[in-house]
Amino acid sequence: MDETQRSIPRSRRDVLRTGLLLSVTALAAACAPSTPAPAKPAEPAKPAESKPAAPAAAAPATAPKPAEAAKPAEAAKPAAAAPAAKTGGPTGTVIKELGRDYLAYPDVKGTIQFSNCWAASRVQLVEDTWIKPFQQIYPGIKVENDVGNCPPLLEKQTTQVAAGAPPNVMMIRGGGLAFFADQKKIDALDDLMARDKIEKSWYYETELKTRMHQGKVYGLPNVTGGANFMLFYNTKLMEKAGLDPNKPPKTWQDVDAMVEPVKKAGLLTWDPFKANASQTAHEIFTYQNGGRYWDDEVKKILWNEPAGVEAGEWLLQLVKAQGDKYENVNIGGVRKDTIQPQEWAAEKYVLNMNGSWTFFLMKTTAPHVQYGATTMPTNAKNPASKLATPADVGWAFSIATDAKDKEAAWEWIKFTTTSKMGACKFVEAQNRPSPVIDCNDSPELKGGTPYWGVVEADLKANVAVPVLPIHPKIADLMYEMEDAFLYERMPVKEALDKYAADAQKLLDDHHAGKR
Amino acid sequence: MARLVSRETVWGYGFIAPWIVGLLLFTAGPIVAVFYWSFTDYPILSAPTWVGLKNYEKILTGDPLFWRSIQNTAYYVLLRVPLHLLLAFVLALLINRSIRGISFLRTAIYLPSVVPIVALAVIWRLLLDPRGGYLNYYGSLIGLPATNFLTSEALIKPAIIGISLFQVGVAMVIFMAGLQAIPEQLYEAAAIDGASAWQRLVNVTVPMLTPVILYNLIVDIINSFQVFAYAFILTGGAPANAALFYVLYIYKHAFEFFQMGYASALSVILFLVILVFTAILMSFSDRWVQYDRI
Repeated sequence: MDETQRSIPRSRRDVLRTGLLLSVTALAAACAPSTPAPAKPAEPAKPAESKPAAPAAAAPATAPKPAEAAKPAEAAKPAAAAPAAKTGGPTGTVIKELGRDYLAYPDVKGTIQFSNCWAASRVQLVEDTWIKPFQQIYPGIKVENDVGNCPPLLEKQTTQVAAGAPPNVMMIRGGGLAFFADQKKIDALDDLMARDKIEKSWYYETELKTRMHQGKVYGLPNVTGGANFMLFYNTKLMEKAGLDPNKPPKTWQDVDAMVEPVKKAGLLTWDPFKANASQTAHEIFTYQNGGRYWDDEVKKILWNEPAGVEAGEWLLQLVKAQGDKYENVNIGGVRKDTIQPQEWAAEKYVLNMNGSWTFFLMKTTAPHVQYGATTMPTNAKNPASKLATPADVGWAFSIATDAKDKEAAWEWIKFTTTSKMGACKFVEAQNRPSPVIDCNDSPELKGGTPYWGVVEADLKANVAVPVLPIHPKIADLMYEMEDAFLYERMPVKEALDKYAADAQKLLDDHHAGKR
Repeated sequence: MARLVSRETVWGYGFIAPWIVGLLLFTAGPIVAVFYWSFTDYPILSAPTWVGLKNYEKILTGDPLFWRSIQNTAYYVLLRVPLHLLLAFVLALLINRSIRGISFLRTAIYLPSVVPIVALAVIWRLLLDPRGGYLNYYGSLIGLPATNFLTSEALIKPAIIGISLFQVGVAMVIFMAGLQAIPEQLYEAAAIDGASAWQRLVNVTVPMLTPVILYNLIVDIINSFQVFAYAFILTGGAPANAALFYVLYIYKHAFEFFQMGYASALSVILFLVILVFTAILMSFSDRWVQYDRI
């Protein structure tokens, strides 16, 4: 045997010592930072340090014509830019668009981790209307598009924030925004907005309200939280059922009248319980019926008042009239998800409650379906019932408090939520409205769908529903409550009362500082 | 006498050191942390605060969904474990022979076990769709009424159990390995004594396989208590919490409600339940597991 191959006797203690040494070494290696530990994230760059007007930004002084704006490369240039006047305040580049001015800083440098769920058919849109034009204006900023699916987005971001490595731009909404703001993990944007002359009045009031927490703006909206609930109707199926496709249902009673003829045609009228993430059908119809879910301070649960009870009873009878049990009426998929185009495109249901994104998705994924759109039906038997679409969620872009390159992140947020290219074109391509009021004057947008009037009416009827950081728990109770009467475990009133009491206790505990 | 080990042993420990580090860092560390967090109020993004037994008290006395999730999980474990073991055993018997095309059959049965569970769940969602799903479509051809498995309180758990049975491959392969380890002489001796095929199965195969059955049983119970992905992807616990399994409930508290302390307490309870089940199985195992009959 070769000398090197000979076994050298060692005691168990030696072995354990060696193993321990190796383990400790590996542990140290695993835990050590790969690069020197970064210092505390720098405060946003002082605007005054920014050089005015980078070449791209200093370009044309006239607004591009609509046709030009459709071309990303050309439209990327700010509509009008001029060196900011040095008045002692922040120095940036004045962007003149949509009849108002704000400041941008094209020479900011950094990297943006853009955590979002604009997946599938929107990925290319993000690239064309946001990333490419943005990088033309901001050559010093690199954009990493971290795109995934929406449901696990909040979990992922929470983990990133908890681990101390948050993305600097986070797409969040509703309860998530309140949660991060409450935990002081996202920045209030009010000061930055004031610095760069971005007015709150540029956005629909309810849109901004749903991105606020305790009176401060924690995210700017990139799409509307309103215009989420419109009634789409399949005109071919209406004809098949002997109904006039030019007379879509306007009231709950009109919907009731559709059930029998639609049944005779071997179809279903509607799965009204397939609503939208975090908003239950009962919530939506309670607002349609002149009711509310809670007060403005979120201190008192109101969903078990008469308007809510009537809404619940109507919904239940609509299901029973169609198929006795909900499983006979359900369109499929998870109830918390909105109806996907392919689900409705199977052409078994005449009606579909969905948001303004439906125009784009139907066009791109189910162009064969002939449909119309109208506003949500109201209750003709209740004089207080009127078009009122609740919005407690709406996507916002926020800056993580512990993130790096926050100045670059802010430039990205401004571009995507305020500029003509970012705020208007992204939604215009989807035939959906913008939370920026002036964007919606676009002729392309108005001409993009014959139902633009419905979208506008829906936006006007939008009611901001404030939420607390404990909203996910409240939302869970809302679904449980709906299940309780939908699956007939309890009569409607009893279910609403029971869960109202449970939710009230959560609210009381929260306001009392108990978790 | 001093215990001595060879240089090879030292190298061996050296090579497994990264695994030990992984175990300490990613398994043992979190386990210890979970025990600590279970006594705290921990909203993930801010520091945990000590609350003593408050989480446990609330779970056991003031949380009806805890009991609902226990009930759902018990239903799943009680039904799924025997069905899964039986199916794996029967399939192992069937494919433990040399016939034409057996390799293809083995692969086909094993394949779902290596397909990501998310992909399987999405496929099953399409198959079970009440309106356009294949299951209801072919059912309708033979006159069966459309059944909405995913929104029926009564059918959702059996549906998830049924779906999970398609991932029988791993248990089946373990049974097959056990079958192949049974000495042929035992069967020959039994045949000479005039034992029928059934008698050989009951008196030779099953007793000889009891260690494998015990292993599969324990692993199956542990896995079944941890059922999550199908319920999470197919319905998120709906309808009416009929598919709210225990781990899904833990997940909701951890990542929807951000109550990591409460979720940790739930996890500790699950750990104890599994520990007790395993201990009971192990303590009774010498009554029916035959380790030394060869």
